[in-house]
Amino acid sequence: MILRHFITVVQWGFLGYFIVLNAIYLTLAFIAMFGLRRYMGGISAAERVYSHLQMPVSLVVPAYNEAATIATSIRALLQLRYQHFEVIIVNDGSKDDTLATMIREFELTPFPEAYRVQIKTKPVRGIYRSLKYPNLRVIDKENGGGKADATNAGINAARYPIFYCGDADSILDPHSLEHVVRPFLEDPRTVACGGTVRIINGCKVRGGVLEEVGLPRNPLALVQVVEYLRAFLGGRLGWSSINGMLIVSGAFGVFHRDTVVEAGGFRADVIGEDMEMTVRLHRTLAARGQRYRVAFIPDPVCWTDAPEDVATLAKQRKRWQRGLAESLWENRKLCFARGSGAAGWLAYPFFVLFELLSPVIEVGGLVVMAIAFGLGMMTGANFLAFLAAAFALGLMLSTTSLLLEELSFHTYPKTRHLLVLFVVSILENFGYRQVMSIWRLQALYGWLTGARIRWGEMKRKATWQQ
Amino acid sequence: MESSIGSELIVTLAWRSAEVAGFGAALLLLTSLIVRRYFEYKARLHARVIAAWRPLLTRIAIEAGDAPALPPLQGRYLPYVMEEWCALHDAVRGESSSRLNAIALAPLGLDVAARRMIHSRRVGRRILAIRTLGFLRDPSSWKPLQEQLGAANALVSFYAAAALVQIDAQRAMPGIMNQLAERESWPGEAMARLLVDAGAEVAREPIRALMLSLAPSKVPPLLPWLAHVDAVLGNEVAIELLRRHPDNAGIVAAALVVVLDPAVLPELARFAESTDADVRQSLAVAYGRLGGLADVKTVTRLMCDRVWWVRYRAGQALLKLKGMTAERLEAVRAHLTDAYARDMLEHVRAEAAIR
Repeated sequence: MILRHFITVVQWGFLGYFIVLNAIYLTLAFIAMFGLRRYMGGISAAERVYSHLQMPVSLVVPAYNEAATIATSIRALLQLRYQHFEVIIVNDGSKDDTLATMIREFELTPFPEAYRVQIKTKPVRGIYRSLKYPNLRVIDKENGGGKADATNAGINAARYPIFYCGDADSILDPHSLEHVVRPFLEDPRTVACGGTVRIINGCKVRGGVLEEVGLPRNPLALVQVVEYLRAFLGGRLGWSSINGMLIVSGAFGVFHRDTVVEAGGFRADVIGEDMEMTVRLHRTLAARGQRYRVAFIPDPVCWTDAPEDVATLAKQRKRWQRGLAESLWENRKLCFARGSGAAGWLAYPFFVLFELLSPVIEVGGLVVMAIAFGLGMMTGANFLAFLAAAFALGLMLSTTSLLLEELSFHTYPKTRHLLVLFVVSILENFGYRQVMSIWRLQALYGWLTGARIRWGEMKRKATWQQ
Repeated sequence: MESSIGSELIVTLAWRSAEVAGFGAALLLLTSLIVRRYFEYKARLHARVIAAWRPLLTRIAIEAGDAPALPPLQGRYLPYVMEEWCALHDAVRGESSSRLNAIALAPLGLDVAARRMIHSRRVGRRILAIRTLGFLRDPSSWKPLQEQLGAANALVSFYAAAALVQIDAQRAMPGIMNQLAERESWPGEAMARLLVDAGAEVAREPIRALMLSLAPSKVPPLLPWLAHVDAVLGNEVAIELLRRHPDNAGIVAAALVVVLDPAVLPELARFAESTDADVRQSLAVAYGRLGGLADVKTVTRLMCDRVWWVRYRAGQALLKLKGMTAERLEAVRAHLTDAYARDMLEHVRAEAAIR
């Protein structure tokens, strides 16, 4: 009898959870839709007015063992269509020829820079300046502390009021800086701005510049296209409209330098330093009573390589989940904090309930219902009803993102692309999402038990590179 | 097998949710396809306008004499033609502009359409209408444009200001100065360009009056941009503001960047003691622009500052001081006891050598 009651409660909880989760996401998508409409309506006029306004930007790009690709990545950065920017590559003690390659390709010369340590990092071994490109510098530091420590070293060397931090293997849209500085120009309270990150697998890239947009053939990468659309166009745009965005992606983020320095820089002891920094900015600025804005621009500004094999994808997702847990835990004072607005009162509780704990609920619910089905306490048809509800709600959400994409940038040029993405939105429900939940659950367990996690090597195929 | 849970309600609800969501997804897909078709249709329309109208409008703009016969303008082409017309206007002046305006009125009726469009809820449409009316320079559009000047949207308001300047710069000044005093959302450089377009002789006195009457908190972001409009005026206003508000760090930091008169340097040296790093940094910049060998002592003191940017700007200033030579620089270096100052001197010298 008790078991039956328990199963009933689980069923209600499972269904209720999915309905509420998707209702919130749909609400965010609708908020995003209005925001997007407003944004697209004024975009050409804004470009005309702001095209001459180019706030100087420091591009901070950590590199570790990237001898094979670093020259192309730097050339792509130097080709950005922007008047006033500097590129700071931080060689994080690479064991390969990353530094030698840069010295050779860009005529680097040791430079007696009066380097200021505003954020503590591993020791800097040397600073180089390019004789070919006056706006290119390289910081050579000892390895340790990961991307966060390397980024902090770059921030120490950065000259300009805002800095971009990203990955050396990401491809930036040539106009990305023009787009991303606009929130800082429009609203001086802006302390951080993220942009839409897209999957580059399946696209054609030449010399570090995106030439043709396409869809990947690899099924794992294909599903990630839908995931990224859902996450960026639906979720983040919606949250940013109410200043509740808790993640500025590590692949593409622009921050106000002094604010980040005051906050202590990126933390090297957490896995998801990008999210941790964003949540910390919310927490510290709200606690100080400072008015601020964490912005997001829907323009596809950055293209990144998606893992195409199961092992790499599993590592990535476990790291993301662990990073999420750490970021939320380390900044728990943000939750319902006075003056924290949508970030503390809506986004934080939402992230705890529907992002952090979602694998527990999803896997737990499925397991309990499978047991109930096995014990004959639930019919196959009923079990199917719950699965159908969960799948269909998820599908509706994915399709909303496709609509948002069509209403805005229609990046994928062919109608076939749209139909393929819709089919993938259906198919991802059959196995992919469940496996994701299991990996995330494992990561959560690892975090709770204090198991160590390593970044590990990311296997990138980069078949798009020509 | 019947459900042994005894709760058919929840199962029904699950099925209904699945049906509604599935139907919703199908509907959203259909909408996406329709939206895609619609944008493709718009892209085709746009391409057609460019193919048919761009050569005609360009010919009208560059060729004197009788205008070529224009095809009838269909309503659906109107915004695109208006865009093309505005884009051409951006590139031409004088006679060409007048010829474009002549065809905009009678044959095309862009004035009537723009006056209707100015009330659109779509920001892009409103701005297009405002730009059109501005290029037409028709005084009868003054009232609707002035209404848009006070719009909450900064871009709409900014374009309205630009349009009013095109029609009558002198008459537009009081309204624009009011907006400058009230709103902080206009992009500074664009605003400076607008005032340059209005003409320094028209903008000069309103700017002076505005800057000297503004609330102190509003001065710092505006001052550097307004100095772009008229550097001499900027210098005069900056000196006046420095004398009026010597304790307001924001104003002092902004004014020091604008000052052009070396004669006031002795008066400014006291700001080296300011507790505000921005003030000390701006002072270093001012020395770099105006200073001479007599200022070496103050500049080297700034090179020992605890803030990197102050040291950096002071280092750059030292290199730029009038009369500074490599030998003198070496002598300065020999006397530097502060390690940070020496490092900074090495830095700026190396930087200058690379440049």
